Amino acid sequence: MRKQVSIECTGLYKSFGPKTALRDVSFQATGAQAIGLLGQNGAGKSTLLNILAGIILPDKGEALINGQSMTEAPVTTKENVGYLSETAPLYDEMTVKEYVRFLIALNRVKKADRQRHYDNLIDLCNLGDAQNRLCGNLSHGFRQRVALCGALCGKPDVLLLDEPTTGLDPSQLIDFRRLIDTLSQSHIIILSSHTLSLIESLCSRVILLNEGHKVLDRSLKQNNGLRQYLVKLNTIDRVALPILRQLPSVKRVTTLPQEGGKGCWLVESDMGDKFPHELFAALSARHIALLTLTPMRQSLEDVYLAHLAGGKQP
Amino acid sequence: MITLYKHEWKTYFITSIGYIFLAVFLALSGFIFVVNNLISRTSDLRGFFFMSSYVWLLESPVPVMRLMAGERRRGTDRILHASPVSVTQALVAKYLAALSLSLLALVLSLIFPLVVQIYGGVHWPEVWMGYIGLFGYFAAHLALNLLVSSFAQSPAAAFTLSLGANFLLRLFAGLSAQGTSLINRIASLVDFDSRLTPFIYGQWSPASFVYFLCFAVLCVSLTVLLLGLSRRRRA
Repeated sequence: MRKQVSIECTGLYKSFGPKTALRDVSFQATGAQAIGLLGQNGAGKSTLLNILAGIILPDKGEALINGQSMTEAPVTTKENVGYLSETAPLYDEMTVKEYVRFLIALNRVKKADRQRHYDNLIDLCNLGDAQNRLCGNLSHGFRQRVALCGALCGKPDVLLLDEPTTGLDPSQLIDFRRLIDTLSQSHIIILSSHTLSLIESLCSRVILLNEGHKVLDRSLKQNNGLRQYLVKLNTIDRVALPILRQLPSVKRVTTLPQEGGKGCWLVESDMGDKFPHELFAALSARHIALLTLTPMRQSLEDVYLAHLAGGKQP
Repeated sequence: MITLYKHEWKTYFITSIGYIFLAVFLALSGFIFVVNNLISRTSDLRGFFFMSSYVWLLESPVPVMRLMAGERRRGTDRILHASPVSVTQALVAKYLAALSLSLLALVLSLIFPLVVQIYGGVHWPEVWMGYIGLFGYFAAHLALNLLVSSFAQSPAAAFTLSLGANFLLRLFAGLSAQGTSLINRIASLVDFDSRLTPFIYGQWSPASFVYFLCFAVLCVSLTVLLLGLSRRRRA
């Protein structure tokens, strides 16, 4: 049985000369999931991934993978981490087969298991036809695929993917999505990307960095899970507002301009499923007609822009 | 570590750097052999060994120039840093691969004493001592070049830095014979030639051999230390 995978980052700081790339970044993740890492260029995404991969060391703070510290036991901790760099560096003079076999051996897979592991990886990454091609002759899409295959060598529990879809054509992108979707069932995947639609479709959680600060860390399911409702009632603000506000699942109510004498409100609920039931019960008890109840979907783009404009969130 | 060692060893011959290195080494050594032994009609190989140390000043940057700088330029150093291999293991594996290539060059250069053997006589114990001395000398120079070139951004820069370091060391060591001042004494600490001389004359000098090995270990350890520190700073 596969062990429970986890990442725990506590108070990570990293500076490069006068520039502080990460400031007090903490988060944790337990169990298989895909986490989207968002932020503008220079926000600290690659630095965070490099620290988690053990490529650079933090100035302060600690990164634990499956409970092991990347600072204190880097070699054993790295056995649990696969890292795909943005530029997908490969040894151009090696064939795909040589490259993947080299990484399998480098990741200390037992000799008896190597051939099976190699076959599985080649199947998973759909590289069967490219095995004997030189890495230096591969197209960008294939290079990304080979680099991802390399990141999976050694059966890591955690996959760190730094802008892995840059330059992929649509069909390669579809393949890549499928692959990540499959892998997210058994791995913690941290996926850094500027493509919000990719994050939205693949990830269950998103972390947003801005100027080295973590400004957002929330579940995307929750975000897309009907947290905002447009409510239209056959009554006026003075009557409806107290009713809406006293519902336990309601967090905030914003009064919108009236439409033809009918009141309109935007309701934010932190218990999305309960709110409609509570609303129906409250309205029927007061004989108020519910004209419209529309769940509002806040896109990741809205969230992204709102938080970047808003700056740091405690 | 063995995996990395094998990888580096194979890479020398996949990228043809290994062939070029061996060919140039044998060509220059052959030229020295022809001038020193064949034309002079002598079986004395001391001049050959002595001149081989000069060839090494030019050639020793070649096996190490791409070990770290090449990885950095291509970005493949990230693959190594993200792998479950310590910096020490990675550097030792790379150094041993370069040392093995140097050893192969020395083994192939045995053709010259063998030619002398065919047409005359060779005092083999003296030849073996010469080779042991050259091996220690090569090992120390390779380690120095590894240290100097590890922070270069490209193989070309690594080659230039290593070549400069080799000649500066040679010039500085030359001061050791010119007096007894502090500088002269410091210069004697890096005087490789005086340590190589007993071997060339067929004498076994354990102190000199240990010196070469210690110098190599010191340089490799310093490289490990400095690379470790640079990981704290790098972007």
